[in-house]
Amino acid sequence: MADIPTIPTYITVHLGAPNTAAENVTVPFAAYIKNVASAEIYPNWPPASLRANILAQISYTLNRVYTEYYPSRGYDFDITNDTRYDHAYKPDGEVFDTVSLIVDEIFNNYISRRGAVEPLAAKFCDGKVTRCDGLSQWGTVDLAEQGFTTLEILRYYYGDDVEIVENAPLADNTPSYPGTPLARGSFGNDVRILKNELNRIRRNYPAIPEINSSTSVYDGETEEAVKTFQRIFNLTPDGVVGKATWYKVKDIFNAVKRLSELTSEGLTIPEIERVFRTELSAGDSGVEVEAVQYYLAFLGYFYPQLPPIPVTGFFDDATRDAVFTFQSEYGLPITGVVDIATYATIEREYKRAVADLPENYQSAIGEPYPGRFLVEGDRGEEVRVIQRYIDRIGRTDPAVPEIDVDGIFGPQTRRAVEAIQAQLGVERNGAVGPVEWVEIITRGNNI
Amino acid sequence: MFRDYLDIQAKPDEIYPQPVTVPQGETPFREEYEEYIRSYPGRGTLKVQISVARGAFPIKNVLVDVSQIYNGVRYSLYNDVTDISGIVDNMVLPARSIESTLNFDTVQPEAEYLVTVFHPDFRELTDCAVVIHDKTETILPISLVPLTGERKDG
Repeated sequence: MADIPTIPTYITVHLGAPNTAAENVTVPFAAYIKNVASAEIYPNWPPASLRANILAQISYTLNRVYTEYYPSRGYDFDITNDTRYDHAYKPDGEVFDTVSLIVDEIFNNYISRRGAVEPLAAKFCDGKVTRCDGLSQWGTVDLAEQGFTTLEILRYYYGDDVEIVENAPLADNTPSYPGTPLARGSFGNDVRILKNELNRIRRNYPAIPEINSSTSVYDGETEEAVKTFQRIFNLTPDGVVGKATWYKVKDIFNAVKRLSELTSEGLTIPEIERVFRTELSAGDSGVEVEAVQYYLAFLGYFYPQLPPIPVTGFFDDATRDAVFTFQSEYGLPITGVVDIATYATIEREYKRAVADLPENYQSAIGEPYPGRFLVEGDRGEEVRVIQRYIDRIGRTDPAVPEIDVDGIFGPQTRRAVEAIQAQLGVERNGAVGPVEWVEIITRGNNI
Repeated sequence: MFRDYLDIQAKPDEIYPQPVTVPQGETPFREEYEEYIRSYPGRGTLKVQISVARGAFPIKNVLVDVSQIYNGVRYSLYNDVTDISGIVDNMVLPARSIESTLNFDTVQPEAEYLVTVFHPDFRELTDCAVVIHDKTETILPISLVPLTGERKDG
């Protein structure tokens, strides 16, 4: 259990009662709360009522996560959608704009009892058909109409010692909202980062206009890009980057960037096949574990049943849970161990996913790693691709020589690669492997 | 009128966020369901937003159909394809009046519609039920699953 509650990036929901066989889906935390709130309450209830209900839902959910309520009982999910135990959650369910706007604004706030660390297990019921010792959903409407504020409503039901904790940190280390909105005329590093992030998002969402200036000033074209972003992602299109827009930009940027990096980092399939051991299980480490994690992480982007996992090279609990899920989904013996059959199925599904995705999605996920080391003497399009990025780096970094982009991996390219390897602190062998590939592509893209 | 109601209720520290859109226009009209339209005097809008890979990519050119079953007959109210942001927007649909959602004892059923989306490269999603509320935009975020990698039985 963590010392200070953080907001999880994703949450795994079991679509049934805890002890019944049912599908798990992994969804972004804010999307989960929006779905729950839209299923539990009416969107045109008074604002104080909506906020009180949503805060109760957030707190209850965070309490489940913080106390590891289900994992500590041996389950591989965070929460269920059975209303006898947890919130209503409807896969592919609708979300209401009033609810969406509030959740975007308060998704990292929660209720806590004074002196306590954990988010309050804020029970609630509808107050008409069912009654409980927690918040009454319909009762909040009456209280709001009497003029109660959000906090007064919460204290009415949960006691005078509850407080609202605001701006809890995000588990994925997303930079916290600086507290001051960015708007036309703002300047500084946050603005420069915002522009870069919007331009990167634009590659996947081309309706967002390009921001050409790379200065640290929030100008007219930045405002237009922000407004379009806000329209697409259901935020108030005012061109001002407040808390909701700040976190939404980070969220979408992380989604597009991580997948792109993941694709660039693709390990060489022949290399893995050569070294793959007969079994991988919890506690193992190395490049073959990294490969399994990579494949599962990639597949997890497209299949909501697979929990997202980091690519660390160490077979930890998260990897084991992802293997459990994969084996369950694909009808394999559920062992949590990657044997030859499991590995072959994972690899096959990965290859299919990459090969069969629509062409425009493939091109948008970055330059895929060619699957082998590029070395001096190589020729061809793959060399030309990496040369283009190296040359771009060389124009801004005097430590890296500019090179000819001719598709021929000669001494000039080798020296440039060695310079980048020196900066990276890896062996200076002049060859472009997965580590160098992702570094060069990422740096080149960020220029 | 709804906005006035909200503004009166909102406390200074709880400025209510502005709805993204206010319903404009009218739902497609057909004589066969005129009675339904009359009994649901509220109007809300529907926005369908389709993506893949946890929102990393919008999916354009997805066929979106919004239907309703009324008196045992299925009526297709809207047919459109998603734009480059994966969105079909501003579909105006009848809803219950606001007053009825503020009163638990109202017996009128929700205004529910069925959304079906189709793209040849992704798993089809059929008859996804959505509820529309008066003066509210309903957003249906759909994450499609690529057809490749479908679970193979056995």
